[in-house]
Amino acid sequence: MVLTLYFKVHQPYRLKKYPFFAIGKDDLYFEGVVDRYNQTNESIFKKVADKCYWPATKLILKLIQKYPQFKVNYSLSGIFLEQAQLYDPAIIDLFKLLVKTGQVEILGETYYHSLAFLYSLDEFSSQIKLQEETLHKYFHIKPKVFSNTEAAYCDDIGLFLSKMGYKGIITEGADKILGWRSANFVYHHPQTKNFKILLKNYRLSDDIAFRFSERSWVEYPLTADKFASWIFTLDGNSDVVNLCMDYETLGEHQWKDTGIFEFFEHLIPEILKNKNITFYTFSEVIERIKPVAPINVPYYITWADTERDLSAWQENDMQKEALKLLFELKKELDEVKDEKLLNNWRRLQTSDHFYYMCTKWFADGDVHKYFNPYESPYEAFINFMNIYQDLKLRLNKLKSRKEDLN
Amino acid sequence: MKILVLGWEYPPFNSGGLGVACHYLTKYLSRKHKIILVLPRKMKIDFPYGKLIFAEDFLVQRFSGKILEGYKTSWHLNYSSQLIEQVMLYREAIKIICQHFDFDIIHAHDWLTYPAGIEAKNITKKPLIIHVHATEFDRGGGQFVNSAIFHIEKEGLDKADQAIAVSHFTKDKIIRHYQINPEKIAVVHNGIENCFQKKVQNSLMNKILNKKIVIFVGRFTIQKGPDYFLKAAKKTLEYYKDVVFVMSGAGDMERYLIEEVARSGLADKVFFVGFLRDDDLNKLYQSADLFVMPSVSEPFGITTLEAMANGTPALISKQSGVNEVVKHVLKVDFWDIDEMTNKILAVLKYESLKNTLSQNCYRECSKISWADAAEKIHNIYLKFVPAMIYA
Repeated sequence: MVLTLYFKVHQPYRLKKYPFFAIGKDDLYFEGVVDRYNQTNESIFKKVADKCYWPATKLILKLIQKYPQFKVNYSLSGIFLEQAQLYDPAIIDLFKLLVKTGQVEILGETYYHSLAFLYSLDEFSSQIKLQEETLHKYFHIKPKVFSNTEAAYCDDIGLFLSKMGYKGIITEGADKILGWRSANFVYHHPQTKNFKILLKNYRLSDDIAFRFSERSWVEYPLTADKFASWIFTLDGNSDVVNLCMDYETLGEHQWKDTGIFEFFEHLIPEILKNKNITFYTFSEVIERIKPVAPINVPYYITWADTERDLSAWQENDMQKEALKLLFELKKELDEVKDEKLLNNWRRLQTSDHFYYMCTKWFADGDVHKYFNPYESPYEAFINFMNIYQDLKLRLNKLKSRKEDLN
Repeated sequence: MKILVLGWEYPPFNSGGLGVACHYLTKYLSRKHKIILVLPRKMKIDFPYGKLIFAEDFLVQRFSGKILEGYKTSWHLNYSSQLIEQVMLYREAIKIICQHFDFDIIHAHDWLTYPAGIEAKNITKKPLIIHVHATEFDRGGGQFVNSAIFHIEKEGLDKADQAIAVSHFTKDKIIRHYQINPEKIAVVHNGIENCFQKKVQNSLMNKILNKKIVIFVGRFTIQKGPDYFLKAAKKTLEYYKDVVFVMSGAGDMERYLIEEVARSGLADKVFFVGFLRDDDLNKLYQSADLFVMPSVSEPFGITTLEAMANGTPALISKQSGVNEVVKHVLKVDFWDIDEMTNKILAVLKYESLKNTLSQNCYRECSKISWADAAEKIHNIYLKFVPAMIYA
């Protein structure tokens, strides 16, 4: 049996507090204080780097060097790399070291961690290519396996990515698409066998990502031995178990004092003790493991919440209006061809901005609240729309200036 | 148990939340307790929740004519010595009432009834619970404190066996300004009756005007911040023309507000519609695009729940008690006119924001009830059962 480990590394450019009165006067949307705790994008990045990026990456590098059989998959969003370059470039060097070992695969994705696939395949494709260029620049690689924003996937996306040269995708092992089938096998696209679908084992992944330090959980405390024994029980009736999680699970969502780093440090050798279990990169999974069947995904699935759909980003009217208005600007942006505007517009597409507007569980104050820089989803919408209006104003000005010149 | 409830105002003869709270709490507490409600002046009220008696019936002296106004517009008295006279008259009546009626607990609503409550406790030795709907530090907007009233409140809080505050916001004020032991103060948030508000025939007003409507509902007193509403209206109009501002209420700042509107040339943008209740008030809420409660110091703020029950998006002051119980509203510091305007403009400009707030606030409000508030008070009453047995 094969085990894979996948970490998603992403950090949005949060928006600064931007009142209506700033419209037309201020185009530095990402500078200054960006949340209710007086943090800036830089201070947030440095805090997460300190708690997660540095200790986690050092640990993974150490394990990789110690155990040549150990493999890891990463996705590093373009705007994560951009901020790393700005605020702490040595982190990128560490990732370069990881990639050089040959035991680490970097996946493809949208540069801006965006929801562009919902509104413009043209834009989706541009951002994928931009990410490919970025990965080539830093790591001299071309990604073969894709990881979409929030693991969003459906048949159409699969076909589109296949045409772009991708061999497969990692997405959620959602019960609603699997039915009686298991996530622990490789599947292929119903229309093309050359596009493989790898599915996250959400139970085992979330045992680490969400429940690791949950004291009310019956399995608390989760030890490396116990977790490895759960993996072993799957051997014999599974081909591949995909453990996928946010990188921030290490040190940020699960703080250092929960023992999360020690857990991983002990887990890898514990698993490798079992000679029937091998670590693969996703490309190796796709090349070496035969798909068992096609899998139909007629509607979008994601790895979010219990619904495993896109409702955290586009359920309420605010989210729908903000997304719709934002993507309506594409045509005019294409006409004016202004790099700065285009870049600002794309940073606004980052899925996090719409996640902050989610009202679903606002009253319960759960996981959504923890990551929300705003006091409420309504504040998130108001701030976003003020910035949107400024961007639109700049766009219109530029457009009329160009028209005057013609 | 038998509860002697000391009230001052009662719908439809009320000027605000005090009467509303008194009404619904007695309604739900009457399901588990025998209620004797005392009101000062004789008036025509339908009271199916127990025994209703009027202080006036036990006195030779009548309550002054002004107190009738007081029920509707107690602010006209401006908390003068005349009002304190009435409060003392009410206390005199309680002395006689105590000889005629038997009860286990005294529950006094707001400072107007504290002296009577203390008197009842002195005579009967029964436990006194005082219910703080506001303090003098709220009513004066933190600027004016009538020391005679302060001392009445302080004595009530000192002598009470238990205080109930309508919010943590109010509890903190009681601790800070009256030096009362925090353990003696329970917090029971107010509720809202029957969140399912019937759709009233929509006002023609907005159809005729074809404009967005932003409303203020509350007394025109320094505490409620109507002047901040006006400032935000002025600023909003600089950026958004198709909107009118409607102010419902009355109070000692009315003249100032009207003059201010005239001075600013906003006579065609800001309208005063007087004190509204029942269907007229619901009609106003339902025709509004946004309800604003810019209170300087709001112990609770029932109007916010009323707006939410009507599906009206609300923008509320963070200096309020209701801020502790609702999330699906917009919030702002009352002094921050720029931020208030920023949020008003967003609701006016984006239908999606208005709709999302409207759906969610209605849903949230439907989980808040007077029955729950009454249940908490019932549990407070129970604390005094053993004391009574040993007495």
